[in-house]
Amino acid sequence: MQEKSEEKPESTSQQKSVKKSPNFWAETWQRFKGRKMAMLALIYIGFLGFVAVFAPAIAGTKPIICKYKGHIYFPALGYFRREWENPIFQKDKFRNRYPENLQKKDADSWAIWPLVYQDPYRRIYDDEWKGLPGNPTQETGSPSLRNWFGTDQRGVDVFAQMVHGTTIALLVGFVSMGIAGVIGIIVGALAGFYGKWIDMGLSRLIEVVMCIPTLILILAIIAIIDSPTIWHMMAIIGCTGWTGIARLARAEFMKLRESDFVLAAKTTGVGQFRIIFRYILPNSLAPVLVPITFGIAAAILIESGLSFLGFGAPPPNPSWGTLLNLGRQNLQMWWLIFFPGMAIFLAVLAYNLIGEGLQEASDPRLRDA
Amino acid sequence: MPGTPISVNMAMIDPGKELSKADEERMKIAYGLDKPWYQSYGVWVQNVLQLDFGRSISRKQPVARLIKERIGPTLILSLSSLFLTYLLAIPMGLYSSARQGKLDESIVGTILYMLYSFPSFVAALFLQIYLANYLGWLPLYGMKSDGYASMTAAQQTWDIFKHALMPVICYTYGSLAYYSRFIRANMHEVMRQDYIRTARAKGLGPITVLVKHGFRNTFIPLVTLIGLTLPSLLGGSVIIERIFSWPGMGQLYFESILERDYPTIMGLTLMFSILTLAGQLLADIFYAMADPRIKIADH
Repeated sequence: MQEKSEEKPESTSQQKSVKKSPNFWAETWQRFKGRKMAMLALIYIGFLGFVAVFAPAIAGTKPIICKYKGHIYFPALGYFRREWENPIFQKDKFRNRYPENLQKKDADSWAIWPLVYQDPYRRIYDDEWKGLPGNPTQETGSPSLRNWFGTDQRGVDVFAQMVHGTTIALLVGFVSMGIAGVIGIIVGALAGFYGKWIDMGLSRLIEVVMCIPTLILILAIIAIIDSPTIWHMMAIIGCTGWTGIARLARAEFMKLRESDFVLAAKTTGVGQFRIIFRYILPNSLAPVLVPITFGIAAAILIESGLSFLGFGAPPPNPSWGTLLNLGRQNLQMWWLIFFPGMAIFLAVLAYNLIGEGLQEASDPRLRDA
Repeated sequence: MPGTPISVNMAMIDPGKELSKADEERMKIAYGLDKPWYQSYGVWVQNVLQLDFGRSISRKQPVARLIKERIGPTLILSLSSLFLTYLLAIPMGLYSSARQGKLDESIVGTILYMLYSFPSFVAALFLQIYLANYLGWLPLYGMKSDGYASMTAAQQTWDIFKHALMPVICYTYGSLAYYSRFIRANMHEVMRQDYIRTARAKGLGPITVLVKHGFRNTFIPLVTLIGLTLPSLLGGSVIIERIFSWPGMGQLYFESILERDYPTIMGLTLMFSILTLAGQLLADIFYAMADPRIKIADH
């Protein structure tokens, strides 16, 4: 939103030595840092990443670390993968009730618990945790001191579901745009570098893919997959969302192909492959990051939209969109709509702000403004 | 989505009713599901070239008739949203470029930026909770009230208007934010041009300069935006029409995916693509009309 950003004067000690011409990345980063909103958004995404990685330590019913029968275990890892929870707890019939079972089966045991004792997959029952009443169900589950964001129809805590759903929201953006980035950059690079009929063919391909509304295309593909998982969805979003990236990469390659350093490389006999990937690509990457960042925002929207329609990750997996779908079935339970809705909104807003910041930072027209 | 159109269909009618192997084979052949996908696709393309979209498996009706029934409601929403967007975005964009740098402009700009990132399906649910459930001003979903058939023409229009209001808002606000920001950004560039300074130096009023000299030059890229907006409007219809139970193509698309009704899915996907292409063609024609430098080949 800041239109003007003043360049800070270089410190005097640097001016004495011969100044190396700043590399494109460092320059872009310098100008990106000057944008308060974009930096704030970047910090927010970092915060979301933190929440996603430490989700089991923030909300869960499995201890982060516990000592049981003389050994140290990390049962909370079971939230990431079922197999990472040590099989001993299954053998000793813990049935996911850690607090009472730890006490009962080994009096010397100790444990470090997650910040909030709530589970994203199931309801908490009476006295599961000493003195903690069970979760309310249906319309009675409005936000309270125990359930900050309320509970859903089955009595599962919304806060815990949202914390654990952060992983999916972030992963979808990164993985799908990773795929889209690779496809888009390769298609754009080939079209822009070789030109002529290759460019003709690839440009028509881009136009054809752009013609089909993304959500329609994704739903059509999901319709033919037998049991779609979250990974299928990421792959599909990636395989349909590369057109904008390809167009920008094509333009960048067309421009840089004619530049002096490429000519110099060519005359010294550098191979085409090396020119594309080692010479042109690093210099075109910053502008290409712009559609990728906007693409991440779009991917989050698409994922939550699909989960909202019921085509997303299979039911037990917590996802922001799935919570919205639960809320749609009973509009009285506003907290099922408000909190996940705001989470989606803020994540999308943050990525859009970062994208815009990058756009302005990497735009050479605004360099000397 | 496990299962085939035939097994899904039977299970929905009566879970206990198993289809005998022979019957299933017979039905598969009747609907052309026994062939591998490339063959059935070839058959489908051949039929479409003869304007035959096939028959819906779950609804036992020609797909063409289904689409004809549903295309009207979808166009009501998307076209009125498109119209409303242009109607509101132009004055808003001009207002913000006239007040560039002032407090009210930056407040409006920030709100628009937020709206642009706000997911339309979340907005739809918020509107349902507030306008329909809490205040009770608007009907929660559907396109027509129960006694629609016995109403006068004016009442019928009013009824559809009331039902359409919330979906149209959900369609519009996002593109409205995008368009007015687009106008503002373009105007920002145009207003620095020499001819604007010339116009000012001639002593023209600020409004004349802004509208006649400035806006005319941002109008051309604005027109091409139609081509980009239509796909997102049509794609969004799957979610918005489902939330508001609006009997359009998006709703039909959603249902036919659940029913694995391949002929309908194919027909609708084709229809959505044709509408998108039509929008792009329209944008190109407008472009030629708005910009005298572009001529549609007449040597």
